[in-house]
Amino acid sequence: MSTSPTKLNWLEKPEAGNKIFWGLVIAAVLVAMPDILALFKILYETHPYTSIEEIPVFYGLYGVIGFLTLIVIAKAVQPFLQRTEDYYD
Amino acid sequence: MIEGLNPGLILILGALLVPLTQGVIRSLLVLALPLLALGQTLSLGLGSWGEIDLMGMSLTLTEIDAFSRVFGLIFIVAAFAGLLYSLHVRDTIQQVATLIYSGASIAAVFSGDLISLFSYWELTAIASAFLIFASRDERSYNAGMRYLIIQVSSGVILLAGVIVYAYEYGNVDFGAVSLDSLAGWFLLIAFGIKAGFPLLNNWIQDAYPQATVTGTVILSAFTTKMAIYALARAFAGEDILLWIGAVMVIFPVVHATLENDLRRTMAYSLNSQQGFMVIAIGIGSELALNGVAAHAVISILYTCLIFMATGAVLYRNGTAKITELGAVYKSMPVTTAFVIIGSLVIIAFPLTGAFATKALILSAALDAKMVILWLAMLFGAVAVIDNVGLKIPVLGFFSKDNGLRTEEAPLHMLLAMALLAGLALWIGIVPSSFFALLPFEMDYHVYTASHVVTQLQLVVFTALAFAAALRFGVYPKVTDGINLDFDWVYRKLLKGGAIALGGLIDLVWTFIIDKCKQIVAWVINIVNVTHGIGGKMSQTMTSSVAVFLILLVLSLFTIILY
Repeated sequence: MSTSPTKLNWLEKPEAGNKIFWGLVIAAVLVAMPDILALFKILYETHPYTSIEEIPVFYGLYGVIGFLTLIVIAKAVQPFLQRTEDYYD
Repeated sequence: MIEGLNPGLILILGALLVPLTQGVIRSLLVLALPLLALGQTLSLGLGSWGEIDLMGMSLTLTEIDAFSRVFGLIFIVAAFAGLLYSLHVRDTIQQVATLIYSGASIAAVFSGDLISLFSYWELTAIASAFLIFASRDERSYNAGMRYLIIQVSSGVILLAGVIVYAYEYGNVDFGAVSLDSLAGWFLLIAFGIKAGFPLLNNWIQDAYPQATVTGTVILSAFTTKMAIYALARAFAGEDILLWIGAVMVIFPVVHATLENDLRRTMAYSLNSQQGFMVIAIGIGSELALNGVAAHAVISILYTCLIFMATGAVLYRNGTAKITELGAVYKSMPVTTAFVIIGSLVIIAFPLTGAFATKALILSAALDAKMVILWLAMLFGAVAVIDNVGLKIPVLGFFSKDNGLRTEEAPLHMLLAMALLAGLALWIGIVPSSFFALLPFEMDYHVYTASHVVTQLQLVVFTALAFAAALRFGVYPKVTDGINLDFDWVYRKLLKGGAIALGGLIDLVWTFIIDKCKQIVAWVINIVNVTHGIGGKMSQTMTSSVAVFLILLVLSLFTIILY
């Protein structure tokens, strides 16, 4: 708890956004690691049920592609769907 | 306690005592009722009670099997948490409505025949509408009326289905129903309305955000999951549900992404999660049905939890709109912690409940070699990471400080959130103890290295993409206002059509009336000419002519009669 109202919370410091972003990049590299290691058969092996899962880092890539698809569709339909709050009144 | 008494009736009958009490006694009463129902459910165990004959049909008033018990138990937990969350509410109508609504939902899943199911099905519709009306403003009143019309329609269609079913099968037992019969289709549509099938779903997003702070929490737990229960009981393994479910998973997520109101965002996400369960019902294997029951439980836990947290924000700030909220985390750190837990659960982070339960459904799809459906569900999982797991906390709770300062949520609200968060985490940490409650035995290992790694990849990469989208300003801008959905068809198009039709009828009616008036005027005119002053028929005659005429008539009579 900060006591002084002028003192900035660490989340509000200008570099916080950068820190979170690069933290996520590092985390992404770490969680992708096992799949890369599995390519060379070190420490970890994947257990694919389907052939599509044999793509390295399939889940990570699917997450990114899925997310991008979602926001592209959302941005595309937004102009057609947007109305003011009192539209139905 | 009374042997075989349906646990739901404890809440329904107990609700009638609420108006007689006040203050602390009332608070204790409303909290005691779900606990009594819990005791009754546990003491009954599995079996059926109260078989009665009604007009040649055999009804089973209470029937508990392993599948319905899971739903009944989580309903009782949700009722308790919801009532605890709403302890500050001094509104008898809301408290009575909450108890009757939750009691009717519990009674519905524990009823063994279609007539009892129908009775409770309608009772949930009527009781729950009062939670929307309780907001007491015009928008809520209108939303409540639309909600009531749709819910009661579901009940009427269910009744039609029950009648046709009784005619076709000669009984009213509630078991698997075939879609080869007309009754099957009636039941599917009735259940589908409450489950939020595509195009039948808009009452969820329309009505839930209009209810009171506490009303939304209560509403989110019961109706949709009761429908999932009914669908699973009647239509397990029906292929049509696979595709209905896939559409349900995918379609609501776009709106969830664009939505400004936190509670409406959550209502869309709830709809998408319903799709997971509908797909699992369509798969119909033992693993899938375990997944349905397990995911319904977790889904109630995190949905209620996030509705509670966003409701607490609305309660303290007077708004739950992203564009109006600032650094909520500074004023309400504990609530923020709970929304983060809820988000971690909804994104199926390891050590949370959904990590265990979503995996059951995804594995069931892969076991059945349904790769496309599996990819659709995985897309749904990515979408929910975005539009609830990240969007609600990041944009709703950690926005740029706008100077708004409030108090933390009241203690009883925090306790209710703690209960749900604790359960959701407990299921994630020791899934085996929870799996023991599920209807079918299974040997399923949640915590394999590859499951943890793949799920973490999904979450972390999506979070990275989300952060990058915000950083580079490509994330869809959430704006003040609403986004049109299918309800536009009946709230605008059909309404406009009805008004135009009304205008047309008015036009035709006026035309007919005018014509009739003209005819009457014409008749009056003719009469005026013939009978009016100077007309042929209005002329007078002399008395001698009159006497002559009377005598003539008289003599004619005399001649004819004699």
